[in-house]
Amino acid sequence: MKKLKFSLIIAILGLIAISGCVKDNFNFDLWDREVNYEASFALPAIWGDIAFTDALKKFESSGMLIKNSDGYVSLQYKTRVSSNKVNEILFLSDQNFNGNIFSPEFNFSNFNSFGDTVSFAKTIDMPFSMFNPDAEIDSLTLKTGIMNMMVTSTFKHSAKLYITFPTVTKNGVPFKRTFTFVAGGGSAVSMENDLTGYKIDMTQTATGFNEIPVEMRLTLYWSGTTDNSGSLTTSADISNLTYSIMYGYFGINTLFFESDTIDVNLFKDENFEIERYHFEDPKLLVKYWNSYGVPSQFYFTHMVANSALDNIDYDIIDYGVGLPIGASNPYNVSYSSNPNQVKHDSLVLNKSNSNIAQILNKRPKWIQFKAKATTNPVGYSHNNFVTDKSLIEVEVSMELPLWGYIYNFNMRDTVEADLRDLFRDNNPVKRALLRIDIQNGFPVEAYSQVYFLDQNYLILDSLFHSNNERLLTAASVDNNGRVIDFSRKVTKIEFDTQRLEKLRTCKYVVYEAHANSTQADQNKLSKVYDDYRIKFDIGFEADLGISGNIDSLSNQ
Amino acid sequence: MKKLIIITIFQLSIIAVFAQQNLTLYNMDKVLQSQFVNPSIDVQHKFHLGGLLIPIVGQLPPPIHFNYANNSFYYNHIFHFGEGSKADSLVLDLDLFYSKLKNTTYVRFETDFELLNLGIRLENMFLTVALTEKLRYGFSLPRDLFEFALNGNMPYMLESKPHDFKGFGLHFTHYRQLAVGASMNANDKFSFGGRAKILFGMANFNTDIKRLQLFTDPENYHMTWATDMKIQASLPIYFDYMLHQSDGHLDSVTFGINQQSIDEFTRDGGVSAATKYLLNLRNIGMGFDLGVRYQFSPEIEFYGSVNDFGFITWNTNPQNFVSKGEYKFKGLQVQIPDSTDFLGETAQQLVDTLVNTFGFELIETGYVTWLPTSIYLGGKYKFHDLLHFTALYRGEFFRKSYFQSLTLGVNSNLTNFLSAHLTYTIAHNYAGHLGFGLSARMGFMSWYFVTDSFTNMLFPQKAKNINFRIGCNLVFGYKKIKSTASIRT
Repeated sequence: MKKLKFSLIIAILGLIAISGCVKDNFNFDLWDREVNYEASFALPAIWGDIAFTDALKKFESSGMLIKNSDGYVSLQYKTRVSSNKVNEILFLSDQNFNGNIFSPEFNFSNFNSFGDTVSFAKTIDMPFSMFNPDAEIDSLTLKTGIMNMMVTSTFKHSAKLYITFPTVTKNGVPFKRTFTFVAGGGSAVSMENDLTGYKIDMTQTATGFNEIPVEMRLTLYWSGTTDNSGSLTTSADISNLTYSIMYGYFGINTLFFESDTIDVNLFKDENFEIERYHFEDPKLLVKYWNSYGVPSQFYFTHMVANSALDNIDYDIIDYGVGLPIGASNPYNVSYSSNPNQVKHDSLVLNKSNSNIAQILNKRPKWIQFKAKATTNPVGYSHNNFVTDKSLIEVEVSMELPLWGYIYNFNMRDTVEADLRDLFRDNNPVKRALLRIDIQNGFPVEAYSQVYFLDQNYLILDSLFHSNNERLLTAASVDNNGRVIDFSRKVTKIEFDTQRLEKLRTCKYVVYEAHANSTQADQNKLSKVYDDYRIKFDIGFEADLGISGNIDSLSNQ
Repeated sequence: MKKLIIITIFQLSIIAVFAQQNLTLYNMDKVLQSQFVNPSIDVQHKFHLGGLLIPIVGQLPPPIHFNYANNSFYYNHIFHFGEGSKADSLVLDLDLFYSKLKNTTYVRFETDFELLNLGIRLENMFLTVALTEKLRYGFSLPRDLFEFALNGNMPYMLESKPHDFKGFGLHFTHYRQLAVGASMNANDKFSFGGRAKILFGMANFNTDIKRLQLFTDPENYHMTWATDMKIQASLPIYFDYMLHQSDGHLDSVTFGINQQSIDEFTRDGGVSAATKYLLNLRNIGMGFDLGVRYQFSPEIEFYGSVNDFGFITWNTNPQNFVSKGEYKFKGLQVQIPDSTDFLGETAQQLVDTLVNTFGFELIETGYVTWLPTSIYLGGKYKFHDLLHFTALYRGEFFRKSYFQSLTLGVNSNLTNFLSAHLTYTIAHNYAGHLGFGLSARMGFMSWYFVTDSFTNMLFPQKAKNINFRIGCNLVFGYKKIKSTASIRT
């Protein structure tokens, strides 16, 4: 029995000891809260397979990159200017008309009792004043116009005036108004007559242009008096006149084009330089669009290119192929023969027929021009027409087909850098590696380097170990300059804590990049076609390490 | 010598082991519940009655079986006391934890509530009827998941090896089992037993992952994800799931519990809902247990059994979410942007691609789940009337894997009213589970307590397995079985 009791006590004590020990295992107050974690991850970041056609689609609307007529790609810088609005040059001013009928013009015989009437009709020509004293307008269709008329009668008899503009018609019906007067006279008005859509024929008077006939017929009704004296005065004014189409001869008028500038960003951008380059087939294109039905002559009053090298303006000169520079060398612009037609014409300057190649060697950062056009320069013809939308438009573009070479396109910049975040105590990244894999289908190679500098501009480290790391290897080209195969380059950039430590005092980052076309050092010509592609794949590796007290880690 | 050879053969057959269960119970012939695992066992009372539904005996204590099993690690592999200056502190040891992981870590729970059990001896036959509420639940985690989280994807990438996550899984099954069993002595040598079961499924959630893989290409870090998986559910309520797409773009995803199904289920109140749930007869299954016992000699007998060979068909709101696809992630794609929201469009494209590749397809058809089937093979040596030595091999088929354990036992029917059982089990790649079983009868009430791992209950921080079974049966008509064995010298 004693032994049993003793055994029981030992067992109970043992159980108590065990339970205490077990509880401690689950007492998280005893946890030292230290964590030690190390892991390495490799992840893809970005990738792309970009065809030049994608860039073309994006930039085509702005005209910067185009597929040219030879099937490869051109850089294009252009601008488009228009002449003044047509209604600033060929406009309609307000018109007015006066007409009178006097009593002596009547035959009053047998006009002496009630019911007797007597009438008199006359036609008066109403002249139209025009935008140009030489203009001879045959006809026009009004887009807008308002006519106000006032008639005053002093006749003692009642009267009725019929006034008709027989050559002012709408749907074949002439414009007419009737005015009625009581005995003793008075005034009558007809205001705000809308002439929209009326066609005015100005060829039906003896002059044959710029005039319209106005027919007036006055009927008197005997009103119980023998006093037949009196007069009738008519005045009309037509205002707010605009036309939708006008025919005739418009005389000689000068159309001005605003001065404009083409920025050639390739040479204008100060962020980069090009040591040497060659464009095999540069072009300056001048395109015209003319919706005037008027013979016109166009010329540039000046066209110059400003050099980025010496800041001097250089004239663009053609070798007798008809670049219209100066009033003595105008270009006869084709003109349409019907109102729905727009005539198009163009002129191309290339290295054979102009000094454009020499201009290009001067690195033109902009091309500036001013222009004029003159209507009816060579004579008189009633075949002119113009609509309210007529314009002469000119587009000037500098086209640089990407056929040639570029040697040492380089850029360099310095930026301030704050790398303090990289040196936080609990920065978990112990090593990082960036992997850049590029399969290049363009005939361009590129080099780069990044320097990390301290506040005194002393170099602490560089991104790449070589002087200039080639990031992009140029694709091979055949004798026609066309790329025949991709070239591949894999670049790895690695930083670990040791290397990072060198950058602790970094204040500035200088990056520089160089690019050349394929074998540009040997002046090899390359072409860029729209089916070229570039494929890239960028991923990174990171070694993470976290060690320390979990509370302090989470508080930071 | 013969005994030694037999024991050694069993020991040598040990390989990967798992889910020990009822290993000590298997030979407790005074407890009716041993027939649940050993259908051919000769239970020594003429009449047994027990279960939660039986007043008093069903509540003191309630007949419960609980099992927790983990084939990889235990608590101290994660947190343990340090050394030296840290001897009094708990330290987090991720390296140790990781070193203990198996290819797939299975964490399983089993909970059984016996509602009613009845056993009656008829001449040469012992009949049983048992109604049991069973819950099977747990999860599995692939080692590669921890490998990825703790070490990153680079180590495998450098070996051109994919991370295999197909071991990931979740499962939950609640079903009710009505089993009718019988065991009989066919002749002097052979005894047979069996149980036919009808299974009533209550709820199920299940993942079936054939493929879930991540491969990181060492050449360019491209990550290829591949899936072939199915998530199945049969619950009283169901989920709404819809991918709203237009022109191939994902507009939105609808996923959530269908409110109408909740309203329908709870329409008549909580009690009605519980009743509907518990009396659901739409998910029917069947299974059986078979056992055989061979009396080799008066001292030696061999036995074997197959347990829980069966299945359940799930037809209540069955939902199968199926995903199959493969996608190589190369990073965000850079294109010549058409709009200013370039990043947004790129991200949208990625989402659309992922949804089109991996988006789950919902198939609302019934499905079948299989019970985890066990096989037992063992032998008994009757050293003495009061002392028997046993050896028991258990193999279990679970989710396309096979797990094994070996148990050596000493069993003693000490008196008419007390029997004790001690076992030593090798399981979960760990030798040293001490099991203990005790049945004690007072009058016609017989209590039992059995665990395959009482040492683990004392030291849970070192436990990969904890199980116990307790209960009380009304027993009548004890039949003393005389053994012809004598004490060996």
